[in-house]
Amino acid sequence: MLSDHQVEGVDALEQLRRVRRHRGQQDANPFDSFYRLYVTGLGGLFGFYLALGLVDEVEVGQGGIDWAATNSGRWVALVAAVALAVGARSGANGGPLAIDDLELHHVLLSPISRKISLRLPAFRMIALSAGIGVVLGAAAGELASRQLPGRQAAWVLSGLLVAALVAVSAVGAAFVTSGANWSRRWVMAGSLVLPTWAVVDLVLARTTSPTSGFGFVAMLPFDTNPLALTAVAVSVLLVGLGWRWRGSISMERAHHRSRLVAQIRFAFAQQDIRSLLLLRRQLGFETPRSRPWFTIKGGGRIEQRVPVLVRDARSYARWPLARATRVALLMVVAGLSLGAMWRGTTALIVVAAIAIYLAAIETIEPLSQELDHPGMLELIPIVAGRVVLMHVLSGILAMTVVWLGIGGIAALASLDWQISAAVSIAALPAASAAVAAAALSIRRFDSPSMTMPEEVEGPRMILRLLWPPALTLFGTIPVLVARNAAQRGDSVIPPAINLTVIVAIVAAIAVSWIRFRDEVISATANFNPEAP
Amino acid sequence: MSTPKKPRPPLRFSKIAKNHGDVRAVGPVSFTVNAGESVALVGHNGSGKSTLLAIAAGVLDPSEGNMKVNGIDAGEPAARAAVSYIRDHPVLYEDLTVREHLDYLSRLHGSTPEAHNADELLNRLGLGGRADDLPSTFSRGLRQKAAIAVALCRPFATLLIDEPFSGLDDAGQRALLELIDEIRAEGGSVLVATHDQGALKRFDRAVVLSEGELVFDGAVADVPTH
Repeated sequence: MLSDHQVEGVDALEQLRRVRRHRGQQDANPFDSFYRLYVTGLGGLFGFYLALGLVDEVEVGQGGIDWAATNSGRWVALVAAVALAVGARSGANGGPLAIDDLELHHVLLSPISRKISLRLPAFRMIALSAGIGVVLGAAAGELASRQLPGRQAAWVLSGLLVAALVAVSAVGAAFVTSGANWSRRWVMAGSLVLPTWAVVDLVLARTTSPTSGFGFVAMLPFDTNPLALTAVAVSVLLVGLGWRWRGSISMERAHHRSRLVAQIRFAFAQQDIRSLLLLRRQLGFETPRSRPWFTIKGGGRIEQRVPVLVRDARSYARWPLARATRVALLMVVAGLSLGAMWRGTTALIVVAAIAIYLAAIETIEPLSQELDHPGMLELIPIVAGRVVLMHVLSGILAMTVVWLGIGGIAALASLDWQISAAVSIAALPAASAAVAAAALSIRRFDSPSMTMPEEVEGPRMILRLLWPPALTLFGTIPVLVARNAAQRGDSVIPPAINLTVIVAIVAAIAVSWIRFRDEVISATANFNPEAP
Repeated sequence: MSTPKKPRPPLRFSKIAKNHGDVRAVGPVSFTVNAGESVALVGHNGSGKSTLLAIAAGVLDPSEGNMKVNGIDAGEPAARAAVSYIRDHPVLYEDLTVREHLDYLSRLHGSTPEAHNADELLNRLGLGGRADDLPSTFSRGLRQKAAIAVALCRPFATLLIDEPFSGLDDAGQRALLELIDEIRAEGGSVLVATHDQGALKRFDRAVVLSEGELVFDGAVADVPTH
């Protein structure tokens, strides 16, 4: 029962939200909103029809259908487990709602029950996630119906049902961990349990994990398993608990999140990967270790000769456990993907390249730190490019170690030691390409700004986003070529060496651009008398 | 004969400590702010003044100890009703005028602007002519004044202000100090985090923090000079 003051407060809150929404609609440019909707819809349709075309071209055969019938459910269970883990972690970091500072200060600090003030935003979030799940799930169901036996409507229905259940469960899990105010550390560690369980199920061909029910829902057109109801039960439980606990959010975590979410959105709009990474780390409360893993004494001869490398080693010594674990996980993903590629699933080389690129972004942290403070770099009485080059070299050294680890894991995954030989040959140039790609994704290394026609800005923006991962992918091509040689029964070493030479040349060009960029731009500006 | 219960202090910091990761930012710190008392929280940058205010407002959770507002845990609805908090940077809706702020936020607290003499308050803060303007058109000082008006135009027992004098002109500072005196006179309590040594003499008591530790709690006249 609400007191009169509470009722008055709730009325005021609802009135304000109406007024602000109305003013927002008045201020918004309807053409902009329509254009955004049009572009999103067009992009979605284009992606869907592209996927349809690709799926229609593939001949699955009876073997593929049997594989799908046996394994697809476990893969769906793994996806659901990962979604729940992501949701739980988001809740522990102040999510899933991104409450703005004003609502936080004025509404959540007012005596109105937070359960009431968060009712509408929480409902909207659950409904939106269900809606997105329905659309994506229906599209996935349609794609599945092209290749798998069963009625099209059944696949579409099971697809939209499972995707909606996964989406609302993930949001529910976020509300649960947020409302329960459990220790962040425990949630972070606990969130690994479900995905690990689902992976074990996948490897051992079992269905014991709590998310197996989602797999049964996805496979309903193949087999009506009553255990599919467990997915509904999990969803109802998580959403119900989350809804009940929505008002018990931690103000501290919500405040921390509200401060960062707006900045993350801005950085995303600007495609500023460095800022995104820094803000993401802050969101996860990730700070350098105050006690380093190892110490390097100052003032030694090595420090005098190569101070940048010693500074970078100190930076690696202060990596927080979360970052070290993330790079190790990326190494495992890249290794497993390259191993699967070696055994025939060629497309997984793209997954490997993305994992390597993300690991490289982490390993260039000392360089990124230097570039975060450009003023300091300009005060050093050495050409800035030289300092930058030394940072790149330390990144290459670190990334080479990661690459060799990837080779070992790939060999274990493919049960063929020839892949280790190919990876070892390519290690240094491929690591250089990955580090150069990661460095080039920092805004400072953009090509000089030019006045471009607006029509060209869009493609230029896409190119800017795609070019660094593409360079990393190029670094992995020697392994692909070696795989082809191995499939023909030839030696893997000569083709790996041939391609590695080309990768080395491209990587050297990219590193040279990073080293000499400032000089090139300055020379170009001097050449142009109209330049400022 | 039973002795009457001692009233609970508006603010009681009991062994409050706050850690950021493995670094201790504040504490443990213990002190109380009594009814009708104005207390200045003084210290250098990073000494923990703003952290203590945010803990009292229920925005931050203490890592250790407990924070009571009128005997209730900080952050509980009754504690939120009792505390009005002005942050070091004004938090104002860009799409509401000053008058709409007062109307909305006082109603959110079950009151009305008229009950708090909103027009007179705006005049005293020098905002009388700008009541129907959007704060997005204001300077830093005017925004600070608007935030003060918003915080005072609602029922509360304790006012928490973080760096109130930054950006305020002399007239604004004078008006704020007068308002603080009036709150005290009406039995309310005020806790202000400030660097401003000049304003100290207007407070009943000072609590001095240094590197997160409480180093002095007593009369303003006895505050150590360093």
